[in-house]
Amino acid sequence: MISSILAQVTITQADLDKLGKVEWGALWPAWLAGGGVLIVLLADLVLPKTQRWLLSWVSFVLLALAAASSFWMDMPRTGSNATVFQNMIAADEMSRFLAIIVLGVAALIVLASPDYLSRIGIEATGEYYALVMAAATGMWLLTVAAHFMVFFVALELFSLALYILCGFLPRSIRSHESGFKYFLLSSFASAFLLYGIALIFGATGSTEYGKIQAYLADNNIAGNNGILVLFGVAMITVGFAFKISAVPFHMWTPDVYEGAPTPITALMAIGTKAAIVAAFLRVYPGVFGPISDQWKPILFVLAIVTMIGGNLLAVSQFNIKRLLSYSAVAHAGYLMIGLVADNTLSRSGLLFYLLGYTVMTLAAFAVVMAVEGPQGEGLQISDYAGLHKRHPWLAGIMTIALLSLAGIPPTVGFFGKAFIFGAAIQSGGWNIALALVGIVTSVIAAYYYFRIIIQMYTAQPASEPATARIGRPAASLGFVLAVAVIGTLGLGILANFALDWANQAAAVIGQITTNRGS
Amino acid sequence: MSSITIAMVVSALVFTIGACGVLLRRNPLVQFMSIELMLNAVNLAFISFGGANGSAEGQVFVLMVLTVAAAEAVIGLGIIVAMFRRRRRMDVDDIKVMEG
Amino acid sequence: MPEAIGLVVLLPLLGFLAIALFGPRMSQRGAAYLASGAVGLAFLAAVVTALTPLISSSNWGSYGLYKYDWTLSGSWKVTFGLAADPLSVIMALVVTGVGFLIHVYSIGYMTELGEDGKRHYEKDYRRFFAYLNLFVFAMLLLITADNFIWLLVGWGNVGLSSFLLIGFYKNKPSAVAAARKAFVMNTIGDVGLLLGMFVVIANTGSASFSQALNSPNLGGGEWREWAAMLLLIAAVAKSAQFPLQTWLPDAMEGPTPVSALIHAATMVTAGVYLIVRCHPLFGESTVATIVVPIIGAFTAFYAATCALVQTDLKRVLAYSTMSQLGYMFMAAGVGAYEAAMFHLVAHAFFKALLFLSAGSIIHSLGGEQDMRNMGGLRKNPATRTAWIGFTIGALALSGIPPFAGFFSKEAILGSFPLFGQVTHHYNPIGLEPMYLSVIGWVGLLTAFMTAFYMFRAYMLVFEGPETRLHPHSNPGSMNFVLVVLSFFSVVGGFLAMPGLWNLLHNWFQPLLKTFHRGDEELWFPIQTERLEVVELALGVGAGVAGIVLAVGLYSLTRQRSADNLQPTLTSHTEEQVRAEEASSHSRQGAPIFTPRALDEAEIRRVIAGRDLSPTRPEASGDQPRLRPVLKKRLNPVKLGRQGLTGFLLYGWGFDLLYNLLFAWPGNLTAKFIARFVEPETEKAVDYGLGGAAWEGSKASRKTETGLARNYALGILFGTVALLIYVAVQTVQR
Repeated sequence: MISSILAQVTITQADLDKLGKVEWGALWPAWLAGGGVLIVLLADLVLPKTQRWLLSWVSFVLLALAAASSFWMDMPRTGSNATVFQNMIAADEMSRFLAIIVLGVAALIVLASPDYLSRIGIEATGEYYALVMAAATGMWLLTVAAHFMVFFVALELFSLALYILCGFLPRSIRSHESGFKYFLLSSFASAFLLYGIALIFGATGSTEYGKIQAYLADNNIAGNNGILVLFGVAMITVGFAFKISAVPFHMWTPDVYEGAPTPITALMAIGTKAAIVAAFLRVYPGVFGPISDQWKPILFVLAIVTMIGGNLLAVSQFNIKRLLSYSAVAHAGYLMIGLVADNTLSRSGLLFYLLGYTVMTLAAFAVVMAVEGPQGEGLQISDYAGLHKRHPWLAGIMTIALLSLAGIPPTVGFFGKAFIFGAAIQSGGWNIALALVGIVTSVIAAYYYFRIIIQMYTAQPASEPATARIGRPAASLGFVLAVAVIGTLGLGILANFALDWANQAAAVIGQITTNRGS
Repeated sequence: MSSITIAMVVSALVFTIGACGVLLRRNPLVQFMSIELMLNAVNLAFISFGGANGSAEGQVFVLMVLTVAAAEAVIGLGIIVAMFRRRRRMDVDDIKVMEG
Repeated sequence: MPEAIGLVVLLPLLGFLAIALFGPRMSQRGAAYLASGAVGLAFLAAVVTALTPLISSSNWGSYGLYKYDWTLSGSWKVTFGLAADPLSVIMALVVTGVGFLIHVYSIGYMTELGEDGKRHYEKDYRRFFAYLNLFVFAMLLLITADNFIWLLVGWGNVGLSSFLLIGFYKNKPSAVAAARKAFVMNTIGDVGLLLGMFVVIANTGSASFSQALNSPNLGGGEWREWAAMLLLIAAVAKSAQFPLQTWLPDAMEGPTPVSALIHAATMVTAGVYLIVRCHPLFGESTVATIVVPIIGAFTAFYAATCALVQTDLKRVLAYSTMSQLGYMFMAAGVGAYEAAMFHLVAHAFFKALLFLSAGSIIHSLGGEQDMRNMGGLRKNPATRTAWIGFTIGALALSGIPPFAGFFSKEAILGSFPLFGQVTHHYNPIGLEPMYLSVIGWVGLLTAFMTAFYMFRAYMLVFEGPETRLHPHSNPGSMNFVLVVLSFFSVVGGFLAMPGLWNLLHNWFQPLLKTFHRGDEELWFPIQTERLEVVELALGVGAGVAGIVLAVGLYSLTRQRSADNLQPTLTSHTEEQVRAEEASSHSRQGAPIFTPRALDEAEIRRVIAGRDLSPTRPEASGDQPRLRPVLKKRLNPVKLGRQGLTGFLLYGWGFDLLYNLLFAWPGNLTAKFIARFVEPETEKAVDYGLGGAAWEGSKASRKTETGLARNYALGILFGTVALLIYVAVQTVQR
């Protein structure tokens, strides 16, 4: 049997040439961030305890460099040839776009962490930063994967790191519970995803994006293999829907987000979502593009259920982290509109919205970090009463972030929504219903976002909040807050640049169809 | 029935058994073993498809899955032990501080 | 110099930011001067902008400090800029001009006469001016936007600042409830605007007015109608037209300068502005040309009937505003955009004048708003200026020559041939003449009622026996503002003198060319040449008749007891009103759709010195009832009168209806869910639809059990659903 397999594998000279040529330069961000894990772990061993504060700076610099390195990333060619490492990695404009989002957010979160960690009293900072960097590496690799093997390994790389990070608070039951739930459910969902990949592999004979797409373009869902393809797509959708936290696969989200340390919550809410949306863009409109009639109805229903469910669940929340996590669920629904509408505008709008979602969510979570107390106090919405008297700047930043999340112009959140809803209307047909549901649920969403704003500005705290004595955030956290809020407003007002870029990045979707090699 | 069909049926059965195990058992260790069972069902599918397609990718993928599953086992056991040290009782249904 | 338009928008923003950021370091008076100064300078900038046509009218266009194009994948284009064109500049002049005067007025108004005889600043004096500046900025952004996106930014922000200002007295539950109601109604409009905007942009690929509205892609047919209808929802909500009208009377809970600025002169005209701005869309939409005038005429009539019986001075003016906006909708709907804009401008002057005069009276009476507790104020020196101002305003509103309202109202009525004449000039869109004629007669009837209720208010406030309250004099700045506005209310109409000149027509000429019939460009100009004598006489006659009737009825009997003769008076139904208001107290929480002055009765009782006990009568029943109180002897005539009065007093019971349609099912659903989910807990579910959402949310939270196995079950459930779906697909393949 093995000999028969070997007989089918023909190796040409061209293949050998390609094997000899490895485009190391295309993975600069991964080298820096992934190598950074080792550097930080080593530094943690070497540095004396008094010098440990350096670790956060080392990892910040490495992650920032990793994000920046995407600009000298070796992007071999554009269009059909933009894959490297034997078609396993896509090195194109979208990879760069996502490197900035994912690695940039990780860098900012690293920068925001020391203040939080010292307040909570975490000692093992070396592991913390190493794991954050590992997670960031995995997230980025997920966005550049052009092969399901890379996809799977990257997914597990950041998931494994996040399991530990969620349970990182040593004395917190909630944190442990968060880590455990995430671990159990994510592994469970990963199994479905893997099974889906196996089925697709069985049908198409490959796990490479380009080859699968080529197969589907030729054969669609004809024959017995078509059954495998359909079931495979369904199972893969389970994995995706779990990670993007679409209803009804969302249930882990609030518990995990609430229990995890707040910077990690932010990393999950932003980084994971950005990575998975990018993967969504590469896999669904790209790989499964030829059979879009099959998966679009699925995502259509998921998007509607997610928008309604996420917003409805958020309405009566009292814990701000839970509220923001349900808001993340709701935003997953908005993002999926962009996937279903699937035209030029929706793709670039989706990437733009992702960028906007990144900055506004980061701003909101950074404020939560700054307000949270050492034992996890200050997370109730009622604790935000009168915040504008204690911390006027924090209240202002939170207001802008929430307005943006609610989609009030001229913040970036409005333009993101405008493009996605506009794309849905443009694509016509039933997709207009998506835009309608989106707008109506946005109105509901405004209600719970405004609840926080009203608390901050008009309500009087019933008693002295436990967190009233928390001082001003440290300079590094202040920097993160500033970046996030400037991004929220700036991307809204001066979005031209970001839009153009998103447009370029989105242009590569679905172009990986190559039949290189055999 | 061809061999691939048999392999697929077995794989699907094992996968379902694993999924049911996760849902029905309340001991986290057993749940985790059930997840491993699901992964192995996937492995079986990969190998048999790889054989049918005449492609080595399936086999390579299995190695990847095994490696990742091993890493997952380490982390999972770590988390479970950490929880066990605080709780002294192994029942996932007790782990519900956060809800709603 | 059209570039100055950027400055117009920027200055109030700077004022707002300065007060918001550095407010605590400013003196109270400093903040007020800063805010007024910012708007004053903005007015000067607007005047400079308005000089553009002196250079060349081809200079109109998009300008501003911030202007560029977004082009997204060739299919979407957004041009950001500020429009300096006749429409936006005249609106900017009104907003900054009236806005400045009202800022100056507020400096005096927002003070209280203390025990020591000195004036004290009200609480949150600076915050008030910051909000005012925010509002002016948002309004200017709304009217100077040259694209839908900026328009929406302004549109949303005026809603927000209106919310903040109505609820300015945040410890007054009725004010907060009114603010919330206004916000909810306006949100409906915002959704309409958003959807309409998307329809336009998705079809034309551009968000800028000049490109999108003139784009051939907008085309005829369904999409144009959809866009027009959706934008109409926005316009109707903002301008308090039927069926989203109920928020405006309640919005009078805000301070009076706010009512004058936002709910009379500027914000509520945004709907008219939107229709005029989008006239290429509305003018060629078949449905809109029929629906908009009907909405306008109905609202004008409806609001006038309601104003006939109101006892609260500000509510009379609120209903009158609604009615006048109805006129503007009538005109804008049939394409008489110039007339609509003319009335908008004139109305801004005399309605601001009326509100500010009313505010002066209320202020000098220490907060009394009930006209039944006023009277004889004409002779009081403290309210002399207010009397003059109110009289001029009332005459202008009644359409008496030569005041501003006469010209503008005649311009509107002149657009409707009363006798169904078929003239090319009257009717460029080719509407059925009879249809126009019916609307014209409704307008005429409304004009009569307008004059009547204005002079009913006049008689109650200024004539008759003197009030028991002791008016004190107001600061000079307030009186100064009244004088300035009186002047403009007199001369404002001379912009277009029939037969002599028509400045407005020349002004709007570069913009409002809309209707094409063949090669011919048709107009709907203000009727300068052929203002027909009969119609003119009818129009003025209606006003005069109303005044004569009101003055006659109310001066025949100078005794307050004589009110019993008047079926339209409210005093003899006072008991009934009180009973209704008392019953409305039993509602707990803050209802969204029925916030009708919850503690009004209480305040009134305290002022009248009748019942100072704080206990509220606990009446049974949930909703305010309109059932008249039965007397011992059934008097059908009296009963009918009482019923009619109550009906009008409560705005035809639309609040009740909406309660029944939206709040009540919401409550019911909420209660149902609550009973279903947590039968034992006691909760305030009295929130209408909001309550339903809240309870639904709590119910759906039950799915989050905290059990990891249940979550896994959720995943499996989703998976099974997906698998069933693909299995069906496979079979159908």
